[in-house]
Amino acid sequence: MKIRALYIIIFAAITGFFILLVTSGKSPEEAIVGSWKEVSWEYEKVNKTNDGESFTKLIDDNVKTEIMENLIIHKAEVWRFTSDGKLYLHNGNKPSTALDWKLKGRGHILKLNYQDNKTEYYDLSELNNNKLVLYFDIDLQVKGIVKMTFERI
Amino acid sequence: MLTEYSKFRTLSDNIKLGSLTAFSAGMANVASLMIFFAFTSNVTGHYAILAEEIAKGNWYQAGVVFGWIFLFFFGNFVSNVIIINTKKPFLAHVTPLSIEIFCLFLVGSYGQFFYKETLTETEILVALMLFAMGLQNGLTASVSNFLVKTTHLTGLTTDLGIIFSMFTKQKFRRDKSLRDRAKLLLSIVTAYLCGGILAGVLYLNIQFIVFYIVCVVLGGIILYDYFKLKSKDEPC
Repeated sequence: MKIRALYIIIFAAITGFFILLVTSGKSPEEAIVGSWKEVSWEYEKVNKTNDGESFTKLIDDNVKTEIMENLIIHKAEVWRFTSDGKLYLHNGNKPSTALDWKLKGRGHILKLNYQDNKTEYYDLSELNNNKLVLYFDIDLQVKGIVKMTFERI
Repeated sequence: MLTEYSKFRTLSDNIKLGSLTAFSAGMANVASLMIFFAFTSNVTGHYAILAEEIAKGNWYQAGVVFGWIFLFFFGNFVSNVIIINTKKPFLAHVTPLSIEIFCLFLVGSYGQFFYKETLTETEILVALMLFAMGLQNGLTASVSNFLVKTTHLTGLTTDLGIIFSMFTKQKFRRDKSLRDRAKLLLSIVTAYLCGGILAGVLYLNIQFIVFYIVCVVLGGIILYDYFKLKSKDEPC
């Protein structure tokens, strides 16, 4: 009987610890809601450089435009995530584009659905009150991973 | 293949048990990876992720991963509690498998009819799958004297590496128990990989229905044992 009580206490303590953890922080699904402004696009990882000559990780506008041609995120400067699962991409005075967004895994994968059922996945590596960092793989000029940094507005 | 007890288990029993359960584990793991972006048949990576999330102060995500690890542990725990407390061997082994089938069936049918892709749903379905995989791992490890752990491919690959290094010496090549162990481990690896590939191909066409196929494979294990016991005229 004693051992049974001990097991029940241990499992109850583990459950309590689990509840404490999940209630101590915001779910990524709640945390991502709001407006985010693009701050920078950089190569996080590259497998070759321009012969070592003054290679910069920062992606210039021309390369950025080329990368974005095949992506859902068309030259958006502000991303606005709403709690009903919509993502509005704003760019100056142009009409905003609406996508569907979902989080997968433990909230570390951002799935974007375009209206023509095209889907893209981004690795959500950092999300807090002020900063959002997304990664995606790119195979252009220099093959690598692009890091997109946003700040909350 | 489940019904043979510990030391009476033959290599053939272990290979059948290991292959079929590894095949279903491989299917479940690849399906969950493609649908939910989370591993469900192994927890080594989850420990690393848990440490990372704690280090970053992401308490919610740390809680979720902690819960997943605990449910895998709890699956192993429940499986072995059932085995050591049930007197009839067939019932002792079929109960954890039945619970596993129920969990995977639930994941498949919920996914097929109700899944809205919210994060909470994803977290719960992954948790259910980790519990199911824990049940299976606990069962196979228990009935095979810890020889077969179908979801534990890190340890298995380590064992394979060690055994093949031993085979560089003739005296170890002549050792039947080592050769049998290598056969068993290779059959598990192959079955796991085949299950994973099949699930990957099937998922692209039939989506969540892939979980029903995993249930059918597990049902096959139960039926095999039932008829094997019946043919031996042993009490179920």
